[in-house]
Amino acid sequence: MTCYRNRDNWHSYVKDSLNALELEELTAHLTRCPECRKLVAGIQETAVILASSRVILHPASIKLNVMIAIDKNKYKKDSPSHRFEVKNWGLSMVATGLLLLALNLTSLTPNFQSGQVAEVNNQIGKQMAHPFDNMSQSAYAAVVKLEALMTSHQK
Amino acid sequence: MGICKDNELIRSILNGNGELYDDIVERYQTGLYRTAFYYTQNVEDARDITQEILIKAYNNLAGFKQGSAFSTWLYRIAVNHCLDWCRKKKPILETSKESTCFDNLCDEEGSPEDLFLQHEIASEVHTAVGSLPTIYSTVLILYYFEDFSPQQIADITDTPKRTVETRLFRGRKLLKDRLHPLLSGGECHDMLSKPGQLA
Repeated sequence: MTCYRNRDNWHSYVKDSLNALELEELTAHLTRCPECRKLVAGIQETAVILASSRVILHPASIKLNVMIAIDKNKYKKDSPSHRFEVKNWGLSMVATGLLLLALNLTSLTPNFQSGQVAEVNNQIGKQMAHPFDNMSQSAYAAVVKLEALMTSHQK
Repeated sequence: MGICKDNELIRSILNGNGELYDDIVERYQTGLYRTAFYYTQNVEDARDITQEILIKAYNNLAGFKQGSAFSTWLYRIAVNHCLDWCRKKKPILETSKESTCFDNLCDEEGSPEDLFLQHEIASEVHTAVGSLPTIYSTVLILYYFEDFSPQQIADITDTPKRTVETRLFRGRKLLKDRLHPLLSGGECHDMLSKPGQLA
């Protein structure tokens, strides 16, 4: 072998898998290089002989066994819409966490933005705490009544 | 369902239509079975490996990138699986050589003598390919038997294309050396053994 191209893309050339530029270049080279022509002919002939001796097997039960073995519902559980829902749920949790963190931080910095954020924070805090205050007051009243009833009963 | 492209089928399977994997298996089982057989030299092991490859591919389908070629992705799994098998379990070739699988080779019409010769050549080619170092047998199997281009083989084996071309040259030379005693004087002698033909 003396040609500098003897190890070039000749297998790709035979499979017709080169781009137009490469194909043109190698075709032009072949017209003037008997050594590479011989090499390409050898690859083509080998392909013919090996293709004719290709093993033919009959995969009788493979498909059946594979289809029995796989979980056909595997990707139903993990469908894109489902993943989207889970993702949204996760994002909601993160967003809530961040909001609560921001509220806590603003309460620590009352002068932030001329006190406006702190004021809003206080209002939101009051609104959030309002139902809990009511519940606490109701519970306290109930406990007091219960104690009064018990003491009167003991007497 | 009609003729549907691989990627459309995969998308549909990933959307929950698992039963469509049947079409994928139908398309690839013969090629994968043959590829596994060249590595194992044994029908039973090849069948088991093919099933394992197809099940593994299904279970990892979510990892397939939709823009790429499914055949390349599937054969990457197949080749790696076969190479793993060879490293762990490959038996001694002489004890596992089988000839029954070549009975169906001769679909074409011909004289009994021609059919016998074809049968013999196929058997020897198969054994010779299987006895090569795996870096050479892999590229030869994918190029000559499974019809992949060097670039596709490069993608499957995660090797530079230039290396694939070099291995194809060297692998072909090794194959010629191993087949020479059998093929001398026959039709194949002219094809694989021309002096000075190989690099």
